[in-house]
Amino acid sequence: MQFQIKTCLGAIGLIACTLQGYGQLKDSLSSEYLETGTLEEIVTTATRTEQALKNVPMPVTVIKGTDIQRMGALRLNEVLAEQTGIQVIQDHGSGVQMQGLSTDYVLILIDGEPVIGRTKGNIDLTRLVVGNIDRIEIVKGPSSSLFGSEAMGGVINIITKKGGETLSGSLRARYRRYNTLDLSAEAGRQHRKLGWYVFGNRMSSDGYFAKGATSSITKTIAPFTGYTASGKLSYRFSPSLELIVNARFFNEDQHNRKQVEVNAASHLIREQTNRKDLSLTPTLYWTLAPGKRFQIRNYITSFRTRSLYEYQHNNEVYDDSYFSQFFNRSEIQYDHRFNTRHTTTLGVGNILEGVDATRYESSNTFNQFYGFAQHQWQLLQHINITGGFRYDKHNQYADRFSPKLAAGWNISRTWSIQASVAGGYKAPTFEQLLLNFTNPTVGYTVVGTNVAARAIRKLEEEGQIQQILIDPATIGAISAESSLAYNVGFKFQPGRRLLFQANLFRNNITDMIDFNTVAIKTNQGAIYSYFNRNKVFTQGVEVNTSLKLPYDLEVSAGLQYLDAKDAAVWNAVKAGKVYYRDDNNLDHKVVSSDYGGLYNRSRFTGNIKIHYSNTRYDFDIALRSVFRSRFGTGLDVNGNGILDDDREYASGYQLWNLSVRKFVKKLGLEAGVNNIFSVHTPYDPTTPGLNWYAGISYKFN
Amino acid sequence: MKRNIISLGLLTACASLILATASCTKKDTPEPNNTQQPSGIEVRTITSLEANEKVYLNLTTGNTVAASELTSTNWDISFYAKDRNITVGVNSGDEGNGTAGAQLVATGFEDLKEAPESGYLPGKEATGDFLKWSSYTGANEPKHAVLPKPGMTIVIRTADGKYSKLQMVSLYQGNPNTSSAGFADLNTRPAFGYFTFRYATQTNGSRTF
Repeated sequence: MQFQIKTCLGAIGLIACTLQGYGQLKDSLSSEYLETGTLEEIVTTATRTEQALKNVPMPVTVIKGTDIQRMGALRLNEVLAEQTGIQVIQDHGSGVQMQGLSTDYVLILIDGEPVIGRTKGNIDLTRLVVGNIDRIEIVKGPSSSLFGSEAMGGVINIITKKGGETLSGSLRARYRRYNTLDLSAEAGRQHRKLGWYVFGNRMSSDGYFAKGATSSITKTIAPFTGYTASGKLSYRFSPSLELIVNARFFNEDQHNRKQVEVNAASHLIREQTNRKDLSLTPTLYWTLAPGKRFQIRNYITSFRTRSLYEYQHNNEVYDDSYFSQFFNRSEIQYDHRFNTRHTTTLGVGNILEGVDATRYESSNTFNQFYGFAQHQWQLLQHINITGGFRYDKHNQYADRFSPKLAAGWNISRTWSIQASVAGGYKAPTFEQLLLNFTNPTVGYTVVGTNVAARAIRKLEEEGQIQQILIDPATIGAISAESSLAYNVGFKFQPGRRLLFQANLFRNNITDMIDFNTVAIKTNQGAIYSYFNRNKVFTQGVEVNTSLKLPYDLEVSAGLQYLDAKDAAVWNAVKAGKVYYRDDNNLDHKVVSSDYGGLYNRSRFTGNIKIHYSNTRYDFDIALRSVFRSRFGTGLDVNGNGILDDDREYASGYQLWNLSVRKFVKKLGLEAGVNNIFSVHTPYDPTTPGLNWYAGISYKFN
Repeated sequence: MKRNIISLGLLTACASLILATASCTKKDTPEPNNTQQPSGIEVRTITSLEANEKVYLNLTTGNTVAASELTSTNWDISFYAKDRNITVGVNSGDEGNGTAGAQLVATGFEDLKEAPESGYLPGKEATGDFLKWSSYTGANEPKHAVLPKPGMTIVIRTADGKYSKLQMVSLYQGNPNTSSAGFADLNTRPAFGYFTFRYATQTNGSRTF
């Protein structure tokens, strides 16, 4: 019986299983786990094979689709904001901070394929609607051994829905404050051979001025209209061969106004911004024999933005810029299950990437080859060891080797422990490689490492260079930023009502890329380029606990303690070499306990959630609260450029969100209030005052 | 990080703006405000020294030197702040006929207990460029301000071979609190180009303070 289940899994395909849907998988697997009395959660992201969550020796969290539905979230940032160990931050859109690593170091995947289109390193989570999400798997700590660049702080994998056994779907409409309207529809069906699922969403809003906003012209959140369409088509040619095609389209228009000073006169500027992404992923699952299977896939995607700024009075163009990126990944993965104890995964792939933007010299193409290998070994019945590595060869920066070793031990039904050590890396950004930008008003120049030598030589020939500080010929050997991370966690589950989990982490990041002055121009403007310089570490502990109470009441709480510091600054502070100026401008030594580490990191973050569901009258209530303690804003009041003064912090804050749902047969009614106490912080413009909503949904099957 | 780019870039463009706010006011006379080092050495403070014309100071006596004595070795350090030029120099090299020297030491004023034995540079070589011992805030608050770096001490070997240490405290009139709202507002910020500094000179010829 056990063997047959494995066969079935092999036949469907490892990732296919997830794409195929959780429900079906649960059905096929439930018999295997009947003895435990609970349905096991299956995750795919941590090992790129489907594994029972309890057997994955890395910190993995799963957000279920039902939880996303219950909280009334519209876009991904709202979902992630309520998760322990994830801090949603605002930096050119909504991004995430995980284990103290900023959004540049977190990889966002949809069905295992990376979302592209980073602005200043950040993938704006508001691009991702949540109506088509089956579940979200979050792996904390590096997964570069499987996913390569950017999987350094963690990986967030959005697994989309698939069609049900019968024709089923839903219609949903929600209305929020600020004239925000969200409409979505979905339908799907899984036939014997053919399966399909389609999803569409339209969301629009008038935007708003945040409380305390300094401008009465530029809205804090711009009015927008966005469309998302996604779909999935699967066809089983034979029991051993299946094709699945995923597609996604997103288009959003924003408009806003701003005031600019041109030649000492004030002008109103009309801003129009468009962004769109498009992707298509055909995957072929080919099973040679039970437990021996190929996945052949090709992911092609593009991301474009265009910003047009025009004078309001005469429609003349003030600024017109664009950014365009395409990404093609071809990959073959082979899984070989030797027996119930040994599974090997091998993969090779090629990434072809192109970028074209206003500030880059010309269109640029990158090429990258990689290979990865992983072995999972069930050493004893309750001990699992997973080891693997990935090798990346890129035509623009040095080769990367990313290893990983993890082990987990389910000591008893009550206790389990796990530990892992892994290397992560993040490729230099397009800006760091390609930028060739001269500020027209101030006159400084920034050159990416690829173009630095040529650009400086050209300026030299033109007689614009006064002094060269760093030989441009030595620029260009930039390396990827890399990390070595340790995670140790345990789980304590006495019975079915209480669950307590903790994970300690430490990330040592080296070769962080920073800029330095390369030369001085005759106009006294500096020329900057990028270098591998800084070392940073982040460490802390994440704790989660949940308790099921009588009367269908469930309470959960999560807390993260974080310590994130610049290693060079920290060593200098400890050595007594860092000073600050007091209010009389006299200097004093910084006490090491005053060094607050990296900016925008809260020492404590956490959440509390209370869920009540009434099966008799078919309604549920969810009350959630998220909080973060004070954090550095980047302000420097005492002249030393580090975070060490109380005035350099923004106060912490706590938000409370409430949602209520009631079902009448196939009709669902929902209402809620986000930010009940109208808490306002200038550092998160996505939390305006109290934000109510109401909605209606209809399910059919 | 980007902010540094902006700051340095803006420096050129905005230095004139800052300096334009340094309007002419009544010349302040140096007001010594004396304390002592733990070792007993006197610490003198000079507040709001105006130096539209170069001011020459003797670090042993604490007196400024008359124009007639500029070619002598009766002065140790010079201060100048006018328009875009802010320079500090010592009596040697292209600055004077003496043999004084200076260097920057990355230690706080009070923590600096011993002057380095060597490494002294003549004239304006160590201290002439004010960005070596101060930084320009650019677009960061307080915007477009030049603030002396904390933990940076100028150590001087005087014209007569004694050792002195000096901390630049402020470059604004009245040594204002630079984290105050009044300083942040460019309309109310005190005038730029006034030296406030404290110094201590070891008169027995040793290098310890």
